[in-house]
Amino acid sequence: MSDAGGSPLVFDGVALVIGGARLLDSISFTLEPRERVAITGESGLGKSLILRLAAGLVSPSAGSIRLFGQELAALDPDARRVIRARCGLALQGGSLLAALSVEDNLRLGFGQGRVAASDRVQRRIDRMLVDFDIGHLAKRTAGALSASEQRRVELARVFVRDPELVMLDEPFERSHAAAAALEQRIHRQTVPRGRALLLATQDEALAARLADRCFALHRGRLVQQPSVESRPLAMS
Amino acid sequence: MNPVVRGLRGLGVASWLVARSGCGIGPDLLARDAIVTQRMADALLTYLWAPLPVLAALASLVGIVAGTAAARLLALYHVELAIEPGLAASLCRDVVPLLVGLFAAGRVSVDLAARLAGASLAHEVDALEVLGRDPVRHFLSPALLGVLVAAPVHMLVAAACTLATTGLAIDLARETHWATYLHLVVSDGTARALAGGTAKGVLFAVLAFAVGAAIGARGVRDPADVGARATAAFTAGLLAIFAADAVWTVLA
Repeated sequence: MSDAGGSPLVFDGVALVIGGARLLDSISFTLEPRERVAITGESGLGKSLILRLAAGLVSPSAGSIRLFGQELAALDPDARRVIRARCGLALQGGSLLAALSVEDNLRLGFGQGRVAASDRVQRRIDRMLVDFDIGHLAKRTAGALSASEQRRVELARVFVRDPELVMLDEPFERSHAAAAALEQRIHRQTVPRGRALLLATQDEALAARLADRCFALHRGRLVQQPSVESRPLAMS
Repeated sequence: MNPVVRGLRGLGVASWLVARSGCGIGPDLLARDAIVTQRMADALLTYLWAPLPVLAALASLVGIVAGTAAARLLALYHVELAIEPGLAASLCRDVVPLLVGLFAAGRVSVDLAARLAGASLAHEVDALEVLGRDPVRHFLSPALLGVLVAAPVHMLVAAACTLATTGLAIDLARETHWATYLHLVVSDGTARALAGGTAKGVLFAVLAFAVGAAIGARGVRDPADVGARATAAFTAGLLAIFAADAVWTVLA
Protein backbone atom coordinates (compact mmCIF):
# COMPACT_ATOMS: atom_id res chain seq x y z
CA MET A 1 0.00 0.00 0.00
CA SER A 2 1.02 3.63 -0.33
CA ASP A 3 3.26 4.70 2.51
CA ALA A 4 1.25 5.81 5.55
CA GLY A 5 -1.72 6.45 3.29
CA GLY A 6 0.33 9.11 1.48
CA SER A 7 0.22 10.05 -2.17
CA PRO A 8 1.64 7.44 -4.53
CA LEU A 9 3.19 10.10 -6.77
CA VAL A 10 4.17 13.72 -6.23
CA PHE A 11 5.82 15.99 -8.81
CA ASP A 12 7.12 19.22 -7.32
CA GLY A 13 8.49 21.90 -9.67
CA VAL A 14 10.01 19.35 -12.03
CA ALA A 15 11.92 20.60 -15.04
CA LEU A 16 13.73 18.64 -17.71
CA VAL A 17 16.35 20.06 -20.05
CA ILE A 18 17.74 17.85 -22.81
CA GLY A 19 20.33 19.09 -25.30
CA GLY A 20 19.79 22.69 -24.21
CA ALA A 21 16.03 22.53 -24.83
CA ARG A 22 13.70 22.91 -21.84
CA LEU A 23 11.18 20.18 -22.56
CA LEU A 24 9.35 20.29 -19.23
CA ASP A 25 9.05 23.22 -16.88
CA SER A 26 7.57 23.61 -13.39
CA ILE A 27 5.59 20.39 -13.51
CA SER A 28 3.75 20.01 -10.23
CA PHE A 29 0.91 17.68 -9.42
CA THR A 30 -0.05 15.08 -6.83
CA LEU A 31 -1.61 11.75 -7.61
CA GLU A 32 -3.70 10.69 -4.64
CA PRO A 33 -4.46 7.05 -3.72
CA ARG A 34 -7.19 5.61 -5.96
CA GLU A 35 -7.07 8.71 -8.14
CA ARG A 36 -6.78 8.57 -11.93
CA VAL A 37 -4.98 11.40 -13.70
CA ALA A 38 -4.51 11.83 -17.43
CA ILE A 39 -2.01 13.98 -19.30
CA THR A 40 -3.00 14.87 -22.82
CA GLY A 41 -1.24 16.69 -25.61
CA GLU A 42 0.08 16.36 -29.10
CA SER A 43 2.80 13.88 -29.94
CA GLY A 44 6.34 14.97 -29.10
CA LEU A 45 5.45 17.39 -26.31
CA GLY A 46 6.92 15.26 -23.53
CA LYS A 47 4.04 13.18 -22.10
CA SER A 48 6.12 10.03 -22.22
CA LEU A 49 8.95 11.82 -20.46
CA ILE A 50 6.65 12.57 -17.52
CA LEU A 51 5.94 8.85 -17.15
CA ARG A 52 9.63 8.01 -17.45
CA LEU A 53 10.42 10.63 -14.82
CA ALA A 54 7.71 9.20 -12.56
CA ALA A 55 9.23 5.73 -12.89
CA GLY A 56 12.72 6.99 -12.17
CA LEU A 57 13.99 6.00 -15.62
CA VAL A 58 15.01 9.62 -16.29
CA SER A 59 16.33 12.09 -13.73
CA PRO A 60 14.86 15.60 -13.65
CA SER A 61 17.05 18.67 -14.24
CA ALA A 62 15.27 20.46 -11.38
CA GLY A 63 12.55 19.79 -8.83
CA SER A 64 11.70 16.62 -6.97
CA ILE A 65 9.66 13.48 -7.62
CA ARG A 66 8.38 11.29 -4.79
CA LEU A 67 7.15 7.81 -5.57
CA PHE A 68 5.33 6.11 -2.68
CA GLY A 69 6.79 8.75 -0.39
CA GLN A 70 10.39 8.13 -1.48
CA GLU A 71 12.44 10.85 -3.11
CA LEU A 72 13.62 9.16 -6.32
CA ALA A 73 16.79 11.26 -6.60
CA ALA A 74 17.93 9.96 -3.21
CA LEU A 75 17.59 6.28 -4.16
CA ASP A 76 20.27 4.12 -5.75
CA PRO A 77 19.34 2.07 -8.85
CA ASP A 78 18.58 -1.09 -6.84
CA ALA A 79 16.28 0.79 -4.46
CA ARG A 80 14.53 2.38 -7.43
CA ARG A 81 13.91 -1.06 -8.90
CA VAL A 82 12.37 -2.23 -5.64
CA ILE A 83 10.00 0.72 -5.51
CA ARG A 84 9.29 0.50 -9.24
CA ALA A 85 8.17 -3.09 -8.74
CA ARG A 86 5.08 -1.67 -6.96
CA CYS A 87 4.03 0.02 -10.21
CA GLY A 88 2.67 -1.36 -13.44
CA LEU A 89 4.03 0.42 -16.50
CA ALA A 90 3.35 0.19 -20.20
CA LEU A 91 5.67 2.47 -22.12
CA GLN A 92 5.32 3.58 -25.69
CA GLY A 93 7.17 1.71 -28.44
CA GLY A 94 6.88 -1.84 -27.15
CA SER A 95 8.85 -3.43 -24.37
CA LEU A 96 8.51 -7.20 -24.49
CA LEU A 97 11.55 -9.44 -24.42
CA ALA A 98 11.36 -10.88 -27.89
CA ALA A 99 13.21 -14.13 -27.13
CA LEU A 100 10.96 -15.11 -24.22
CA SER A 101 7.51 -16.66 -24.40
CA VAL A 102 4.44 -14.60 -23.55
CA GLU A 103 4.09 -16.50 -20.27
CA ASP A 104 7.73 -15.85 -19.34
CA ASN A 105 7.32 -12.17 -20.18
CA LEU A 106 4.50 -12.05 -17.63
CA ARG A 107 6.54 -14.09 -15.14
CA LEU A 108 9.49 -11.67 -15.35
CA GLY A 109 7.72 -9.24 -13.08
CA PHE A 110 7.69 -11.63 -10.15
CA GLY A 111 11.38 -11.70 -9.40
CA GLN A 112 13.41 -14.89 -9.41
CA GLY A 113 13.33 -18.35 -7.92
CA ARG A 114 10.57 -20.02 -5.99
CA VAL A 115 8.28 -16.98 -5.87
CA ALA A 116 8.15 -16.77 -9.66
CA ALA A 117 7.58 -20.53 -9.91
CA SER A 118 4.84 -20.71 -7.26
CA ASP A 119 1.28 -21.85 -7.92
CA ARG A 120 -0.03 -18.46 -6.82
CA VAL A 121 2.02 -16.73 -9.50
CA GLN A 122 0.95 -19.26 -12.12
CA ARG A 123 -2.72 -18.71 -11.23
CA ARG A 124 -2.21 -14.94 -11.46
CA ILE A 125 -0.55 -15.30 -14.89
CA ASP A 126 -3.33 -17.61 -16.09
CA ARG A 127 -5.95 -15.10 -14.95
CA MET A 128 -4.26 -12.26 -16.87
CA LEU A 129 -3.91 -14.44 -19.97
CA VAL A 130 -7.67 -15.01 -19.86
CA ASP A 131 -8.57 -11.41 -18.95
CA PHE A 132 -6.62 -10.01 -21.89
CA ASP A 133 -7.66 -12.80 -24.24
CA ILE A 134 -4.11 -13.96 -24.91
CA GLY A 135 -4.29 -17.46 -23.46
CA HIS A 136 -3.77 -19.01 -26.88
CA LEU A 137 -0.50 -17.07 -27.22
CA ALA A 138 0.99 -18.15 -23.88
CA LYS A 139 3.68 -20.46 -25.26
CA ARG A 140 4.60 -18.37 -28.30
CA THR A 141 7.69 -16.17 -28.24
CA ALA A 142 6.89 -12.49 -27.96
CA GLY A 143 8.93 -11.64 -31.04
CA ALA A 144 6.63 -13.79 -33.18
CA LEU A 145 3.44 -11.89 -32.24
CA SER A 146 1.72 -9.17 -34.22
CA ALA A 147 2.02 -5.58 -32.96
CA SER A 148 -1.55 -5.67 -31.63
CA GLU A 149 -0.97 -8.95 -29.78
CA GLN A 150 2.27 -7.61 -28.31
CA ARG A 151 0.44 -4.57 -26.93
CA ARG A 152 -2.17 -6.80 -25.28
CA VAL A 153 0.62 -8.79 -23.64
CA GLU A 154 2.26 -5.57 -22.45
CA LEU A 155 -1.01 -4.41 -20.92
CA ALA A 156 -1.55 -7.80 -19.26
CA ARG A 157 1.96 -7.55 -17.79
CA VAL A 158 1.11 -4.16 -16.31
CA PHE A 159 -1.56 -5.72 -14.11
CA VAL A 160 -0.09 -9.16 -13.46
CA ARG A 161 1.70 -8.08 -10.27
CA ASP A 162 -1.34 -6.40 -8.77
CA PRO A 163 0.26 -2.92 -8.90
CA GLU A 164 -0.68 -0.06 -6.59
CA LEU A 165 0.05 2.55 -9.26
CA VAL A 166 -0.55 2.03 -12.98
CA MET A 167 1.19 4.17 -15.60
CA LEU A 168 0.05 3.81 -19.19
CA ASP A 169 1.55 5.57 -22.18
CA GLU A 170 -0.75 5.52 -25.22
CA PRO A 171 -2.27 2.21 -24.09
CA PHE A 172 -3.93 1.43 -27.42
CA GLU A 173 -0.89 2.19 -29.53
CA ARG A 174 -0.60 -0.45 -32.30
CA SER A 175 -3.94 -2.01 -31.39
CA HIS A 176 -6.58 0.54 -32.29
CA ALA A 177 -8.87 -2.13 -33.72
CA ALA A 178 -9.24 -3.70 -30.27
CA ALA A 179 -9.25 -0.37 -28.41
CA ALA A 180 -12.80 -0.61 -27.08
CA ALA A 181 -12.30 -4.08 -25.60
CA LEU A 182 -8.93 -3.10 -24.14
CA GLU A 183 -10.40 0.03 -22.62
CA GLN A 184 -12.96 -2.07 -20.82
CA ARG A 185 -10.27 -4.38 -19.49
CA ILE A 186 -8.15 -1.48 -18.27
CA HIS A 187 -11.20 0.08 -16.65
CA ARG A 188 -12.02 -3.22 -14.94
CA GLN A 189 -8.45 -3.54 -13.66
CA THR A 190 -8.23 0.00 -12.29
CA VAL A 191 -11.51 1.61 -11.28
CA PRO A 192 -13.21 -1.11 -9.15
CA ARG A 193 -9.87 -2.11 -7.63
CA GLY A 194 -9.04 1.42 -6.56
CA ARG A 195 -5.69 1.58 -8.29
CA ALA A 196 -4.09 4.94 -8.93
CA LEU A 197 -3.61 5.63 -12.63
CA LEU A 198 -1.35 8.00 -14.53
CA LEU A 199 -2.32 8.00 -18.19
CA ALA A 200 -0.51 9.75 -21.06
CA THR A 201 -2.49 9.95 -24.25
CA GLN A 202 -3.35 12.14 -27.24
CA ASP A 203 -6.94 10.91 -27.03
CA GLU A 204 -8.80 13.49 -24.92
CA ALA A 205 -12.02 11.47 -25.01
CA LEU A 206 -10.24 8.43 -23.60
CA ALA A 207 -8.64 10.61 -20.94
CA ALA A 208 -12.05 11.96 -19.96
CA ARG A 209 -13.52 8.47 -19.72
CA LEU A 210 -10.73 6.92 -17.67
CA ALA A 211 -9.44 9.77 -15.52
CA ASP A 212 -10.79 11.87 -12.64
CA ARG A 213 -8.54 14.79 -13.52
CA CYS A 214 -7.02 15.77 -16.85
CA PHE A 215 -4.03 17.96 -17.58
CA ALA A 216 -3.00 19.27 -20.96
CA LEU A 217 0.71 19.55 -21.64
CA HIS A 218 1.33 22.90 -23.30
CA ARG A 219 4.81 24.29 -23.98
CA GLY A 220 6.31 22.09 -21.31
CA ARG A 221 3.81 23.04 -18.60
CA LEU A 222 0.76 21.24 -17.29
CA VAL A 223 -2.55 23.04 -17.59
CA GLN A 224 -5.45 21.56 -15.64
CA GLN A 225 -8.48 20.95 -17.80
CA PRO A 226 -12.03 21.69 -16.65
CA SER A 227 -13.70 18.52 -15.45
CA VAL A 228 -15.52 16.73 -18.18
CA GLU A 229 -18.72 14.92 -17.48
CA SER A 230 -17.97 11.24 -17.52
CA ARG A 231 -18.89 9.55 -20.72
CA PRO A 232 -20.02 5.96 -20.83
CA LEU A 233 -17.35 3.38 -21.49
CA ALA A 234 -16.87 2.34 -25.07
CA MET A 235 -18.51 -1.00 -25.62
CA SER A 236 -16.94 -3.72 -27.68
CA MET B 1 35.33 14.32 -25.33
CA ASN B 2 39.07 13.87 -24.88
CA PRO B 3 40.09 10.37 -26.14
CA VAL B 4 42.00 9.66 -22.90
CA VAL B 5 39.01 10.61 -20.77
CA ARG B 6 36.77 8.57 -23.05
CA GLY B 7 39.13 5.59 -22.76
CA LEU B 8 39.25 5.82 -18.97
CA ARG B 9 35.49 6.16 -18.82
CA GLY B 10 35.09 3.09 -21.04
CA LEU B 11 37.49 1.18 -18.81
CA GLY B 12 35.46 2.16 -15.74
CA VAL B 13 32.18 1.12 -17.36
CA ALA B 14 33.65 -2.19 -18.53
CA SER B 15 35.08 -2.98 -15.08
CA TRP B 16 31.80 -2.13 -13.40
CA LEU B 17 29.81 -4.30 -15.82
CA VAL B 18 32.16 -7.29 -15.32
CA ALA B 19 32.00 -6.90 -11.52
CA ARG B 20 28.23 -6.48 -11.52
CA SER B 21 27.72 -9.46 -13.82
CA GLY B 22 30.08 -11.56 -11.74
CA CYS B 23 28.18 -10.73 -8.56
CA GLY B 24 24.97 -11.88 -10.24
CA ILE B 25 26.17 -15.36 -11.19
CA GLY B 26 26.05 -16.90 -7.70
CA PRO B 27 22.56 -15.69 -6.73
CA ASP B 28 21.25 -16.54 -10.20
CA LEU B 29 22.58 -20.10 -9.93
CA LEU B 30 21.08 -20.49 -6.46
CA ALA B 31 17.71 -19.01 -7.45
CA ARG B 32 16.96 -21.98 -9.76
CA ASP B 33 14.67 -19.75 -11.74
CA ALA B 34 13.43 -21.33 -14.97
CA ILE B 35 14.04 -18.20 -17.06
CA VAL B 36 17.55 -17.69 -15.68
CA THR B 37 18.41 -21.38 -16.08
CA GLN B 38 17.28 -21.22 -19.69
CA ARG B 39 19.40 -18.13 -20.29
CA MET B 40 22.45 -19.83 -18.78
CA ALA B 41 21.90 -22.90 -20.96
CA ASP B 42 21.63 -20.62 -24.01
CA ALA B 43 24.85 -18.84 -23.01
CA LEU B 44 26.73 -22.14 -22.68
CA LEU B 45 25.45 -23.22 -26.07
CA THR B 46 26.40 -19.89 -27.66
CA TYR B 47 29.82 -19.42 -26.10
CA LEU B 48 30.97 -22.96 -25.32
CA TRP B 49 29.57 -25.51 -27.78
CA ALA B 50 28.74 -23.57 -30.93
CA PRO B 51 32.28 -22.25 -31.55
CA LEU B 52 34.09 -25.54 -30.79
CA PRO B 53 34.16 -27.07 -34.31
CA VAL B 54 35.48 -23.90 -35.96
CA LEU B 55 37.96 -23.30 -33.14
CA ALA B 56 39.22 -26.89 -33.40
CA ALA B 57 39.62 -26.50 -37.17
CA LEU B 58 41.53 -23.20 -36.78
CA ALA B 59 43.76 -24.67 -34.07
CA SER B 60 44.48 -27.69 -36.29
CA LEU B 61 45.45 -25.40 -39.18
CA VAL B 62 47.74 -23.41 -36.87
CA GLY B 63 49.33 -26.71 -35.84
CA ILE B 64 49.93 -27.69 -39.47
CA VAL B 65 51.63 -24.33 -40.16
CA ALA B 66 53.78 -24.61 -37.01
CA GLY B 67 54.61 -28.28 -37.65
CA THR B 68 55.60 -27.65 -41.27
CA ALA B 69 57.84 -24.73 -40.25
CA ALA B 70 59.39 -26.86 -37.48
CA ALA B 71 59.97 -29.76 -39.91
CA ARG B 72 61.95 -27.43 -42.21
CA LEU B 73 64.13 -26.35 -39.29
CA LEU B 74 64.61 -29.95 -38.21
CA ALA B 75 65.66 -30.91 -41.75
CA LEU B 76 68.43 -28.31 -41.49
CA TYR B 77 69.63 -28.70 -37.90
CA HIS B 78 68.30 -32.04 -36.57
CA VAL B 79 67.84 -30.66 -33.04
CA GLU B 80 64.61 -32.40 -31.99
CA LEU B 81 65.40 -32.13 -28.30
CA ALA B 82 65.67 -28.33 -28.52
CA ILE B 83 62.95 -27.50 -31.02
CA GLU B 84 60.00 -29.76 -30.31
CA PRO B 85 59.52 -29.22 -26.54
CA GLY B 86 60.19 -25.50 -27.02
CA LEU B 87 57.71 -25.32 -29.86
CA ALA B 88 55.02 -27.15 -27.85
CA ALA B 89 55.51 -24.83 -24.87
CA SER B 90 55.43 -21.76 -27.07
CA LEU B 91 52.25 -22.92 -28.81
CA CYS B 92 50.52 -23.59 -25.47
CA ARG B 93 51.74 -20.42 -23.77
CA ASP B 94 51.60 -17.84 -26.57
CA VAL B 95 49.90 -18.94 -29.78
CA VAL B 96 46.84 -20.90 -28.62
CA PRO B 97 45.76 -18.30 -25.99
CA LEU B 98 45.95 -15.61 -28.65
CA LEU B 99 43.88 -17.79 -30.98
CA VAL B 100 41.27 -18.30 -28.24
CA GLY B 101 41.37 -14.55 -27.54
CA LEU B 102 40.90 -13.64 -31.20
CA PHE B 103 38.04 -16.05 -31.40
CA ALA B 104 36.49 -14.51 -28.28
CA ALA B 105 36.83 -11.02 -29.80
CA GLY B 106 35.06 -12.25 -32.91
CA ARG B 107 32.27 -14.05 -31.10
CA VAL B 108 31.82 -12.74 -27.56
CA SER B 109 32.53 -9.03 -28.14
CA VAL B 110 30.54 -8.84 -31.35
CA ASP B 111 27.64 -10.96 -30.07
CA LEU B 112 27.31 -9.03 -26.80
CA ALA B 113 27.61 -5.60 -28.40
CA ALA B 114 25.00 -6.43 -31.05
CA ARG B 115 22.69 -8.14 -28.56
CA LEU B 116 22.77 -5.29 -26.04
CA ALA B 117 22.38 -2.64 -28.73
CA GLY B 118 19.42 -4.57 -30.17
CA ALA B 119 17.88 -4.91 -26.70
CA SER B 120 18.23 -1.17 -26.16
CA LEU B 121 16.63 -0.48 -29.53
CA ALA B 122 13.71 -2.82 -28.78
CA HIS B 123 13.22 -1.18 -25.35
CA GLU B 124 14.02 -4.50 -23.64
CA VAL B 125 16.36 -2.76 -21.20
CA ASP B 126 13.57 -0.34 -20.25
CA ALA B 127 11.17 -3.29 -19.92
CA LEU B 128 13.40 -4.98 -17.37
CA GLU B 129 13.86 -1.73 -15.47
CA VAL B 130 10.13 -1.11 -15.21
CA LEU B 131 9.65 -4.68 -14.01
CA GLY B 132 12.17 -4.03 -11.25
CA ARG B 133 14.80 -6.41 -12.67
CA ASP B 134 18.45 -5.56 -13.13
CA PRO B 135 19.22 -5.57 -16.90
CA VAL B 136 22.92 -6.20 -16.23
CA ARG B 137 22.14 -9.42 -14.40
CA HIS B 138 19.55 -10.47 -16.95
CA PHE B 139 21.69 -9.94 -20.03
CA LEU B 140 25.28 -10.21 -18.82
CA SER B 141 25.53 -12.63 -15.89
CA PRO B 142 24.60 -15.72 -17.96
CA ALA B 143 26.94 -14.54 -20.73
CA LEU B 144 29.84 -14.10 -18.28
CA LEU B 145 29.23 -17.58 -16.88
CA GLY B 146 29.27 -18.99 -20.41
CA VAL B 147 32.53 -17.14 -21.21
CA LEU B 148 34.23 -18.25 -17.98
CA VAL B 149 33.31 -21.89 -18.56
CA ALA B 150 34.12 -21.77 -22.27
CA ALA B 151 37.60 -20.19 -22.11
CA PRO B 152 39.45 -23.06 -20.34
CA VAL B 153 37.61 -25.70 -22.36
CA HIS B 154 38.47 -23.86 -25.59
CA MET B 155 42.09 -23.60 -24.47
CA LEU B 156 42.39 -27.34 -23.80
CA VAL B 157 40.66 -28.35 -27.02
CA ALA B 158 42.63 -25.86 -29.12
CA ALA B 159 45.93 -26.85 -27.51
CA ALA B 160 45.22 -30.55 -28.09
CA CYS B 161 44.33 -29.94 -31.75
CA THR B 162 47.35 -27.70 -32.34
CA LEU B 163 49.84 -30.07 -30.71
CA ALA B 164 48.35 -33.08 -32.52
CA THR B 165 48.52 -31.52 -35.99
CA THR B 166 51.99 -30.12 -35.30
CA GLY B 167 53.20 -33.64 -34.53
CA LEU B 168 51.37 -34.97 -37.57
CA ALA B 169 53.01 -32.40 -39.86
CA ILE B 170 56.48 -33.22 -38.47
CA ASP B 171 55.80 -36.94 -38.79
CA LEU B 172 54.58 -36.58 -42.39
CA ALA B 173 57.75 -34.64 -43.25
CA ARG B 174 59.59 -37.75 -41.95
CA GLU B 175 61.64 -35.68 -39.50
CA THR B 176 60.46 -37.19 -36.20
CA HIS B 177 58.29 -40.21 -35.61
CA TRP B 178 54.93 -39.48 -34.00
CA ALA B 179 55.74 -41.50 -30.85
CA THR B 180 59.06 -39.69 -30.35
CA TYR B 181 57.36 -36.33 -30.80
CA LEU B 182 54.77 -37.28 -28.21
CA HIS B 183 57.48 -38.39 -25.80
CA LEU B 184 59.28 -35.04 -26.20
CA VAL B 185 56.28 -32.72 -25.87
CA VAL B 186 54.38 -34.44 -23.03
CA SER B 187 56.39 -32.91 -20.21
CA ASP B 188 56.17 -30.71 -17.14
CA GLY B 189 57.31 -27.75 -19.23
CA THR B 190 54.39 -28.16 -21.65
CA ALA B 191 51.96 -28.59 -18.73
CA ARG B 192 53.23 -25.40 -17.08
CA ALA B 193 52.98 -23.55 -20.40
CA LEU B 194 49.43 -24.84 -20.85
CA ALA B 195 48.46 -23.69 -17.33
CA GLY B 196 49.87 -20.22 -18.01
CA GLY B 197 48.23 -20.19 -21.43
CA THR B 198 44.86 -21.15 -19.93
CA ALA B 199 45.08 -18.25 -17.48
CA LYS B 200 45.86 -15.98 -20.42
CA GLY B 201 42.98 -17.40 -22.45
CA VAL B 202 40.53 -16.75 -19.58
CA LEU B 203 41.86 -13.18 -19.24
CA PHE B 204 41.43 -12.57 -22.98
CA ALA B 205 37.90 -13.98 -22.94
CA VAL B 206 36.95 -11.72 -20.00
CA LEU B 207 38.48 -8.76 -21.85
CA ALA B 208 36.41 -9.62 -24.92
CA PHE B 209 33.33 -9.82 -22.68
CA ALA B 210 34.12 -6.48 -21.02
CA VAL B 211 34.64 -4.70 -24.34
CA GLY B 212 31.47 -6.13 -25.87
CA ALA B 213 29.41 -5.28 -22.77
CA ALA B 214 30.76 -1.72 -22.47
CA ILE B 215 30.23 -0.91 -26.15
CA GLY B 216 26.82 -2.60 -26.31
CA ALA B 217 25.63 -0.85 -23.14
CA ARG B 218 25.71 2.53 -24.88
CA GLY B 219 22.17 3.16 -26.04
CA VAL B 220 21.33 3.20 -29.74
CA ARG B 221 18.62 5.09 -31.58
CA ASP B 222 19.03 3.74 -35.09
CA PRO B 223 19.10 0.10 -36.30
CA ALA B 224 22.21 0.95 -38.34
CA ASP B 225 24.01 1.67 -35.06
CA VAL B 226 23.74 -2.01 -34.07
CA GLY B 227 26.16 -3.03 -36.83
CA ALA B 228 28.44 -0.11 -36.01
CA ARG B 229 28.55 -1.18 -32.36
CA ALA B 230 29.43 -4.76 -33.35
CA THR B 231 32.27 -3.56 -35.59
CA ALA B 232 33.57 -1.22 -32.89
CA ALA B 233 33.45 -4.06 -30.36
CA PHE B 234 35.46 -6.37 -32.61
CA THR B 235 38.15 -3.73 -33.24
CA ALA B 236 38.36 -2.67 -29.60
CA GLY B 237 38.36 -6.31 -28.47
CA LEU B 238 41.33 -7.11 -30.74
CA LEU B 239 43.19 -4.05 -29.48
CA ALA B 240 42.54 -4.92 -25.83
CA ILE B 241 43.60 -8.55 -26.27
CA PHE B 242 46.82 -7.76 -28.15
CA ALA B 243 47.69 -5.04 -25.63
CA ALA B 244 47.09 -7.44 -22.73
CA ASP B 245 49.16 -10.13 -24.49
CA ALA B 246 52.04 -7.70 -25.02
CA VAL B 247 51.98 -6.62 -21.37
CA TRP B 248 51.77 -10.25 -20.17
CA THR B 249 54.65 -11.38 -22.39
CA VAL B 250 56.88 -8.48 -21.31
CA LEU B 251 56.15 -9.00 -17.61
CA ALA B 252 56.29 -12.82 -17.61
